Parts: sequence; structure tokens; C-alpha cells
Amino acid sequence: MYGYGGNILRINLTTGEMNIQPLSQDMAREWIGQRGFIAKILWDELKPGIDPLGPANKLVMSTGPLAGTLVPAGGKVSFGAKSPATGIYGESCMGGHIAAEMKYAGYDVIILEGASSKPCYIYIKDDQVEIRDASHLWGKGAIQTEKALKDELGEEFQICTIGPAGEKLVKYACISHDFGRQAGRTGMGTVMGSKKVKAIAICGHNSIPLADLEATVVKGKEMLKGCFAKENLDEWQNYGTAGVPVWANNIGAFPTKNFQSSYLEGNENLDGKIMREKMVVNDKGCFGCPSPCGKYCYVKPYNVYTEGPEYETTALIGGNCVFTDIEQIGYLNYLCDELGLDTISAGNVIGFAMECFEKGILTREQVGMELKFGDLESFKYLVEKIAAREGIGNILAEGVKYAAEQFGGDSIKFAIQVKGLEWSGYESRSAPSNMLAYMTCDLGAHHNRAWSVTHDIAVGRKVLEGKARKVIELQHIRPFFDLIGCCRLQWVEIGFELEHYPEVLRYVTGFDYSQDDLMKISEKVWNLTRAFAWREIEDFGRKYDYPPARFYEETVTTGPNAGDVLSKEELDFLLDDYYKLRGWDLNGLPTREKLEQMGLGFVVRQLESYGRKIS
Amino acid sequence: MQIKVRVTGLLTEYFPAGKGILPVSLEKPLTVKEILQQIKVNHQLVMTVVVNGQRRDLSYVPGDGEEIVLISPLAGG
Amino acid sequence: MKIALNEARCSGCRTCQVICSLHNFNENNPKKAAVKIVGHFPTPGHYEIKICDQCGLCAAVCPAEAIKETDGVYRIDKEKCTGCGECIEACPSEAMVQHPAEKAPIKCVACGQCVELCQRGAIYDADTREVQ
Ligand code: SF4
Ligand code: SF4
Ligand code: SF4
Repeated sequence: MYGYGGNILRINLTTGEMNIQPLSQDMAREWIGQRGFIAKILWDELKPGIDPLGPANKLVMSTGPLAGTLVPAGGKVSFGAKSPATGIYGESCMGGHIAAEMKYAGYDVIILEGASSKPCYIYIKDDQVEIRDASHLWGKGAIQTEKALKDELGEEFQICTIGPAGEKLVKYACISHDFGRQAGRTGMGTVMGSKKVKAIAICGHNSIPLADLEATVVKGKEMLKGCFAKENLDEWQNYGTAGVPVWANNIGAFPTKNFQSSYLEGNENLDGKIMREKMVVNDKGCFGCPSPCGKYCYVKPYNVYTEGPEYETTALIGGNCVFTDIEQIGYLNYLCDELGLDTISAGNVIGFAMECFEKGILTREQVGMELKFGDLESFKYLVEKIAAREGIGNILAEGVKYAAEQFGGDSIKFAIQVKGLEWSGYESRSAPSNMLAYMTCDLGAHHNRAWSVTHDIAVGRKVLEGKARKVIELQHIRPFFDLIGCCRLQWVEIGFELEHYPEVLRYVTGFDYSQDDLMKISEKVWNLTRAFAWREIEDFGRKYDYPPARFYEETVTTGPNAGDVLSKEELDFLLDDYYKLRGWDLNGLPTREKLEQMGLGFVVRQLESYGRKIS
Repeated sequence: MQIKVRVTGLLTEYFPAGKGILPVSLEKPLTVKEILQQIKVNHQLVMTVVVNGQRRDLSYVPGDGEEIVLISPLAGG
Repeated sequence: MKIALNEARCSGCRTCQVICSLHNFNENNPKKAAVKIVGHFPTPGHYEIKICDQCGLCAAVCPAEAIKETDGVYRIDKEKCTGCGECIEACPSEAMVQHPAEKAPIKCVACGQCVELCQRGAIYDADTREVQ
């Protein structure tokens, strides 16, 4: 099939059975790829109520039709499963080269079912698929593992791995690839660890058939050159997202001291320019990327190599745990990467623990040492305890929500999460639309779906009207890129035009989508993942969409937005508006009319069969 | 004196000339921040200022005829 | 066209490989590209580019006399090539590529497509451009 690897590979780890089925034309046309395929497969194949870390969960790896082609930055793959962090739909996206490799091997989707009884890795060379022993790799760091397998199998293999945190089932373990790219969020590394799969190694030799090869070449070149010509390309490739922390601080959006503030003293030391001078050794990009954002670093004082820190890491390890030395952040980034931990959740969890200690909710006896914001030893100690699930680490490994429930006091108010997923790196009490975006993200508080701080600044940071509309628009555009297998950063960051995509999709796949069709499909997936949450959780709805009380009860402590807070009434205004525009009921649940209009009649029937009352 | 202003990325949505070039007449040399005030663009929407390929900030004072490119904030991954 | 390298600039994007296979094989298949990108990670963290510099050693060792030069570019005659692999062994740049579906090795013909699409200037034409 044009534009696709053409097959779905299914591996049952319990029985060792495998099968390869062709991808159907209808599936491709209706769900496009990647997150579309994942949502559909998880909906169809997972029984509600399963243990996310049991053999009944499935880990679905999928990429989209533009991956591996000449279209700029076609290097994205997503992993999906029922999330052990949130108990609802989980998914995380990652760059690098493995998405393209999957397609050359002939696969758009790889489904891991069941669970292996002993450590293994998946070996895929075109249609030769094996479950191989990984006892020699178990316990190794995520990056070390990748290196060991590259040495063993050869440079042409693209490999993704988990670290010790994934093996130990830390709820925010990531999947790592290409020595510094991660699918970090919603515990996809945890699910992989629960199946005892240490790595997936892929090498493919086939071509991707193109509906119109000549037109794809012409259009692909035009798109690449369009990206090359963007004025801000140099800024972007010199600093990547590391150019952002100073700006985020100046406008009062930089998470600081476990989100007590949005302004970090000393943040100017985190600037991309300083990072570049001190640590960057190479600009590293994903497959087909015209604007490489990976800053591969050597952190001299600690003698470690790491990719990044990129913005989210700098925000959540740096600001949130109060580190203002970029080399220290680089080092801690390295530790998280090797252990296989999502830096966003890890930074949240550790910042939270530091605050608990400061407030006397945690004691020296409980922790085993004294914790302090900005103290390298504190971070190091905790991150290692977490990855090993030792002592206090065993509780922190569950994420901030669970930890707060254990620690008690009023700590739940400053456990910065939504739906159990820790908040990404923008403090948003002075950015209502961004607040709403993270509140309503289908995965929990994640920036992947919509980010709209600039919109708040442009139309007014106190304004609430019209914000929901913008958030919805972005929630369809941004994750649209996670349907097609392409990076969104060319659009978001260097301003590459959206109009190119329907045309190039036509040349690659032969499917004739309009821009509007594509957004409709994106919206359909949005409704499906929302319904997934409802199928899992009987009382799902509005109450799952609130941020922690800190954001509506406490004011920002310092900086340009000191004193800002969004009241619960204001949050309700935003939610009301949002639900209405989405065609959902007042409790934030999709209505029959909306689901049917989206072509999700099968969802209505299923929800009803589980006793959900659809309005 | 006259300068030219151009913006990139998300900023184009909020810039009077969109993706185009906006000529701005100035009575006296001003900082970029002051110029933005004059053309009613919120300076918080600007992450970096680039002039002749050089990275500058909002306190930069452009000379006659110079073109300043305003880089919009990035969405941080 | 004189292909030259500035490896320190390479970001590992493999756009060069995609366009090479599209142009020379009419296939979207980087494994058939005549240029290799080898990452050295986690240390010291850079990419190596392996590409032919038209030195001609392959032609000298080919027992089937299948490799001929025109205008400074060595090309493999696929009809004559027996797939013995002598040239692959002999290439001092390790620049020849083998693909399971191709009998003849794959070798750069200096078409310049990769140069056109290497945004980073990691592969460039020394005839028209100074090193970046
Ligand atoms: S912009 Fe960054 S994340 Fe996106 S494809 Fe390029 S290197 Fe990868
Ligand atoms: S196109 Fe250039 S930067 Fe990209 S892999 Fe090839 S040589 Fe490296
Ligand atoms: S010059 Fe042409 S044949 Fe040689 S590597 Fe580049 S694209 Fe391939």
C-alpha cells in the first residue's frame, strides 16, 4: 500500500507466537497512522479494567505514512498502551530513526501482547522476527543497552530500549532510542518492562512504495528547501529548545520550586548560548530533519555525554528543583536518561519531595537524608532510589499523586498533575488557555497536544473568552503530526506552513484528504481517547480535568506574575466553554450526537454495553 | 529614519503585516522594545531579535535601513 | 562536481540517503544509497560520512572490468558486474554499499543530489563552495 510499510506485526510474548497481517486500506484511510492506529487498536483490543502492568495490556508501536520518506522530519513513532501512570489511554511520541526503519522492514504497527517470563529483546530484520534472550542486558542503563546491541547487531539496526527504571516498573519510565531520544510520558517504558522486553531492534531493507514518486520528490524537495529558508532556522539549530528558558522566565511561565513560582532567580545561566559554549559537541537531528534540535553535549565536570537538556528538562529539573547551573542539569539529565526515567515526571516528583521535606511532611528518617531545593546530592539520591524502588523511592516511583496520598498533610494540593500525569514545563496561572490545554489533554498534563502561552500573551493573559476555542483548534493541529509520522516542530517552531501536508499526503499515499478532513480525523481520535478514559473509569468526567489546588488556591509567589491565580470559577468557565464547543455534556463526556457525527457509533454501543449513560 | 520589521513562526499570527515586511518610520533611534510599543506588538511575544544574522535582544537600537527579524517563542518541545 | 565533506556539521538526518535512492533507483530506500552515515554515540558524539572520492581503486581491482571512468566519475556496469565483491574490499573509503536485492555493489556517481539537500553543508561541492 502506498506510503505504508504495509503490515501489522503482532508478537505474543507469553506464547512466543507471531503473526504478520497486512494493513487494511480502510484502516489506513480512516485512521491515517501512528496515534490514530494506536487509539483504534487499543479501543478494539483492550478489555476495560485490565491491569496496565499485566499481560492483558498491549504495547502498540506505530508510525505514520510520511515517516521514512523525503517529507521533512518523517522520523516520529508513538507507543501506546493503557497507562500505568493514569489508568487511561496512554501514549508517547519519539523521534530518531526507528520509525523509518520500521517502515523499511515493512511494518506500520508492532503490537506486543502477553508477557515474557524472562528478559528478552525483539529482533526484527525484515520478515525475520525473533524473541531473543536479554539476560546479558537486564540491569543495564538505557543508553548502555543501545550501545551494546549496536555493537552486537550492527550499525544498521535502530534500537529502542528501557533502563533499570522500566525494569523496576517505575510508573514514569520511558522508552529510549538514538542515544538521547525518549518516548517519555505516560509510562510506556513501564509497560515494556512489565513484559520483560528490554529492547526492540529493527533493520529493514525494503522501499516504501509511493503513489506518485516524481511528485513526492519535487514536493519533498520544495518542503525541505522551504524549511531551510526560514529565518529562524539558525536560532533553532544552534540552541534548539534551549533558547526558551530565558524567555519563559521573563514572561513568568518558568516552573520554579515545584511550581510555587513562575520565575527563577539566576535563570539567565540556563540560556542556550551558555549551554552551547559550555557543553554542545554536535547538532543532532532525527530522520529527515531539516532543523536539527538535538544538542548533543559533553558535560565536562561530570565527564558524561548526554543529548540535551532540552527545554522541558531544563524547566523541570532546573527550575522546578531550583538548579541554575546548566552543567548540573546536563548531568542530572544524563542520570535520568541512563536510568530510563521521563525527565518531566522525575523533575516534578523530586521537586515535590523537596517541598514536602521543606514543609516537614517528609522527615529525615523517612527519606534517609536531608532534602533541599537546588542540592545536587538530594536529586541524585532520590533519582537512584526511585529507579531502584528502594525506601522512599518505592513510593515516589508511583508518581506525585500516589505519593501525596501516602504522605498526607496538604501535599495533594501541590502534587502538580492532572489525571495522575505530572505537569509539563509551563507554569500557567497567568496563561488560562495553556492551563486549559494541560487540564484537558487526553493523556494528563502534557504539552504534546496543545500549547498556547503565546496566545494568552497576544490576546490578554486575564482574558477567558475565546480561549477554549483556541485550545481545541490546537488540540487538533498539534497531534495531527502524530498521525502522519512527522515532527511538529517545523510547524510550531520554524513556522513551516501546514498547507503542504494534504498535498504531500496525496503524493505519498494516494489518499485525497483536504485540510478539513485531516482535522476531522484528528478530532475523531480525540473523542475516541476521551471515551477510552470513560470506559475505564465509571465516574470519569469534569472532576478529572482540574489542576492541583495550588493553581487555583495559591498565588504565584515571585516574578512578573506574582499574585496571579485562577479561581475555581474561572477554571469552570473555561471548562464549560470547552465542553460546549467540543459538543460534550456539562460533565465533559462525549454525547451520542457527537460520537455518531464523528463516525464513532461503535463507541456509543460499547460504552452502553458497559452501562455508561450517554446523553 | 526607516527600518524594516519581519517576524517568524507563531508571531505571524499576531503581527500587523503577517508574514510580510513592515516598514517603520522612526523620528529618532529607538530600542527594539520601544519600536514594538509603537507598532503595538507585545514584546513578550518575542524571544530573540536577529539583525544581520546576529542574535540581539530587545534593548538593541537598529540603525537606519536595518531589517530586524523577530523570532517568536518556541513551544518547548 | 567535487564532493567534499565537513563531518562535524552532519546531524545524521539521512536526507542524503533518501534522495540518493530516489534519484538513482527510483525507490524510497536509504539502504540503497551510495552514502553511509555512521553515528559514533554515546561517545564521542558525532557522525562519520562514508562516500566515494572517485579514487578509482575499485576499477583497478575489478576482475570483470566492470568499473569504468568517464569525466572523473567511476561507474559500475551492472551487466558486467559478477557481484564478486572485490571492489568493496578494496575501497579505502569503505564507501561501497551492498544490498541484498542488488547483485552489483552500489557506488556514488557524483550526481550531486545529496549536496543539494544537505542543509548542514556536511556534504558539499568543493568546486562551487568553500568549506563552511
Ligand atoms: S526538530 Fe528536533 S525533534 Fe523534530 S525532527 Fe528535528 S531533531 Fe527531531
Ligand atoms: S544530509 Fe547532510 S547532515 Fe544529513 S545525514 Fe546527510 S550529510 Fe549528514
Ligand atoms: S552524489 Fe549522488 S550518487 Fe553520490 S551519494 Fe550523493 S546522491 Fe548518491
